Amino acid sequence: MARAQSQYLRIYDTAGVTYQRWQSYYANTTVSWDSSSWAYVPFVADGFTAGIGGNEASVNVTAPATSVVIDAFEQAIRNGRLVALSIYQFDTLQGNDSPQAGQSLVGSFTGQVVGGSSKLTSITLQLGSALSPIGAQIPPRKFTTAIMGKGCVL
Amino acid sequence: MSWVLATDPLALVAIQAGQVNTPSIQTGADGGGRLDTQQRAVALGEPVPIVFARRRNDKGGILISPGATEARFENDTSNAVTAYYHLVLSEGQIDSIPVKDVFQRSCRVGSYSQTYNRRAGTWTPGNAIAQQVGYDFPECPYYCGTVGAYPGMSTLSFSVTIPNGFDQWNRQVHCFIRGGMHVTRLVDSVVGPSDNFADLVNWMLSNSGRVPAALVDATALSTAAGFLEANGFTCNCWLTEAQNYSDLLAKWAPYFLLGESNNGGKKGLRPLLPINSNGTIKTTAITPEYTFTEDTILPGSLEIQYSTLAERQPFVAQVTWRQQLEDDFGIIRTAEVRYAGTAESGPYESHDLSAFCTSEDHAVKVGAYILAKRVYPTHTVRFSARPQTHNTTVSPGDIVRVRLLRQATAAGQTYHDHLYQVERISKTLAGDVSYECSHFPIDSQGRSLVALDVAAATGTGILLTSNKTGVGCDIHSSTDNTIPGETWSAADWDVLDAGSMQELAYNYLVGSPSGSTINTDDGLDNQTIPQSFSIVPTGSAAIDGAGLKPTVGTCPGGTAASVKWFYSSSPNGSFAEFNNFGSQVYVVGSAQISATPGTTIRAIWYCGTAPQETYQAVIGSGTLETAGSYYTGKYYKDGVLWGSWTSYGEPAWIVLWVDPVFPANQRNRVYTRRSDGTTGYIDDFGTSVIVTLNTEYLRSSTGAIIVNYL
Repeated sequence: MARAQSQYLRIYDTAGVTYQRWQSYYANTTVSWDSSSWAYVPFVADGFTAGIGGNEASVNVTAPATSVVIDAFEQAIRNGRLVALSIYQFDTLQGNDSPQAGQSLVGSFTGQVVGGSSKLTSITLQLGSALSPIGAQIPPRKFTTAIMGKGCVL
Repeated sequence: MSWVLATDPLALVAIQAGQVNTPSIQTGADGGGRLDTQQRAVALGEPVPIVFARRRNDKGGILISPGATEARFENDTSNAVTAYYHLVLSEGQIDSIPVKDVFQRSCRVGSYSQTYNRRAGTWTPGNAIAQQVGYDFPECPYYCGTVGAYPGMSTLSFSVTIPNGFDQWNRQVHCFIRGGMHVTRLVDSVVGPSDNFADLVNWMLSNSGRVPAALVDATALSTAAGFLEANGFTCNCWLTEAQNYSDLLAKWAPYFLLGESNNGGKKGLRPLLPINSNGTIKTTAITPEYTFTEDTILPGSLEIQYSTLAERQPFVAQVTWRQQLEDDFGIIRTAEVRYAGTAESGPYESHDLSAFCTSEDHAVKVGAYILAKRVYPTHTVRFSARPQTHNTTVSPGDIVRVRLLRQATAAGQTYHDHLYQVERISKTLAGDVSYECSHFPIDSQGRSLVALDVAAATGTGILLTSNKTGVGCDIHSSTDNTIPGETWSAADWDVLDAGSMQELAYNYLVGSPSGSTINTDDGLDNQTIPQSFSIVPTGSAAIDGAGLKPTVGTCPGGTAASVKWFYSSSPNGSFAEFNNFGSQVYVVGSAQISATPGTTIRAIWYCGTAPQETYQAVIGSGTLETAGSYYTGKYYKDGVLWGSWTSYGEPAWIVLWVDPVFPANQRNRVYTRRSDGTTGYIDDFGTSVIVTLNTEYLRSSTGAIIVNYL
């Protein structure tokens, strides 16, 4: 047996509409998995972290700064789109040119594109939650003129 | 609680695992309140409060003191003042409040009307106090507000009439809430009031406006809700102050024996204790999800961090909670928990749960948990493991076993063999998985020691009665469950529109800049040998290595390049364009060179209509001589002096060169070809003249400009 891992990335909105499906293992080819087509984009997602602390670091995805990637990133961060990352592991001796039906899910991560950085030739997307660790959010509403008018002074 | 970032999370795992709780600041209980105060007015910008409560099993509910947004004051002929207050009770819809639960100061007085999603009451805000003959003028507030809309809020209109001589019309109104904001309960999927902290968290995540549903771990929240319901950990609170969601969760979740979870990016809650399928605390043997041994743990990756002595000193956990009476205000109480025979004279560590906890057992179990997590767990670990089954089966919160052999020379062998609760999992591209775990101590039967102590901890069961004494001031009965009819008013939109939403057009169209990318060159960066600049028109060939038309660079965007020539009688005069290349190759002939000093010839390289570089030759002074006549002048490029020039020959033509020192063995010869085809150099500058490289010249029947510069 020879263990290998492949990564899949899907960009979609809160209504479930999918905009991008990428995979980074099967080079220069579009593969079928989970009833969908996944285009090859040589991205790298750093280690998924899950925990019961609630404040685990976000996942970063680094990809070449092609027009497809940059456009997808800008649209995602502008519209608060979601990104679903999945890691599958499989035995390469049973096949290495397309996703295997029996490959097992090792880890997954769902987040929004909350930030990023870029050099001229590469771009790194930061995935996480838009819930800011600073700033007041609860209760969510404030009293405004549109709600209570002028208000009394007692 | 403030956020702290650390580079070594192993040191923080103990805190995240709940081993060290932040004790409360030494102040009065959060759940307490003052009764006989002046009615408070709401200020614009204040948060809309949230009442989250549900009274059941003789526990729960909360007394609130809502702020007023509108008021009205009027008096009758006996100078009795009637005060009207419009109060905002809560965000969302709450249960109707019976008469017995509405107070002004500590008395059941007045009348009221409650509604939702609109302004309660039919009165108009204002001060209608009139001077009554024979009475003092009551000083009532003059700024009474305007009628608001209050969308999505529960409101209450309260009025009370106070006889002349008393000023109690301005006292605070209180309401005892038995059923707070309606939410969808995770336990039974019913929409109604709730006292389940997981329901509150679910509501906050949905309504904070920042977390989409896909990032909410509904499964984890449901499990947490079941745990809270099964163990009686309830939440009855009134949120009035703006705070950060994460801060609130970090502060309150441990007091429900819950931890925040982040599973694959999805936020949720997770019980800090092992639980059974029905949500109760598991007090039977624990079966680890996976056992890590030398076979899976990467050599050298194990790190152990032991708890400090300060963190493990015995102490008394003093937990403040709120006993909420059925027909009176809540009584703030404390529960003290310690291990038998320890800390009999302290130290004391206070934890204030009075803002939300109305159960003694809840308070005592929290105290027991805080104590047990300090006493029993001794360390945290971090290790990396090669990928195996645990890749897909172990999740944060699971219990795992780590069993490693310690083989010491001449000292036998022992095992590091403990159970751990997984706090954090990091999976890398290389396949290895990093675990951070906290010690999960068990007894000889494999049962969690912390869980055993928490499950066994119970309160005294003693409920105190109200210490209310003196002559009662209630007008209404303490058993009056009447719900008054709803009355409401339309909003004053003339005022509300002043704060209406201003909607901006959302312009997605983003353009890119256009235009030339060429900037003016200051000439200070040119350290290379410049190209020779000659002025042979395109298509004409010079001889002996002469250059082409000015190779002044490529114009961006495919813009056409051109060279234009200008002539002026002085460098500062007006320039006239000329271009008489025609079929001849000369640019400036003797007929066009004047002996007048200051005559200026300018060549400008254009990209389209934008000038790029300017070459300028200014004639200085000289004597026109036959067979060797010459003129001298200065040569400029973009306004910067580049060198001098001298013209030779008959007719006169110009050679330009610069003056920096150059190797002495370089020679410069200038040639000319006459109309009869003969050639020859007219001068050999030898070594006494600073020479230039790339001497180029033009075939010309009359003359030409040759520019050479270094």
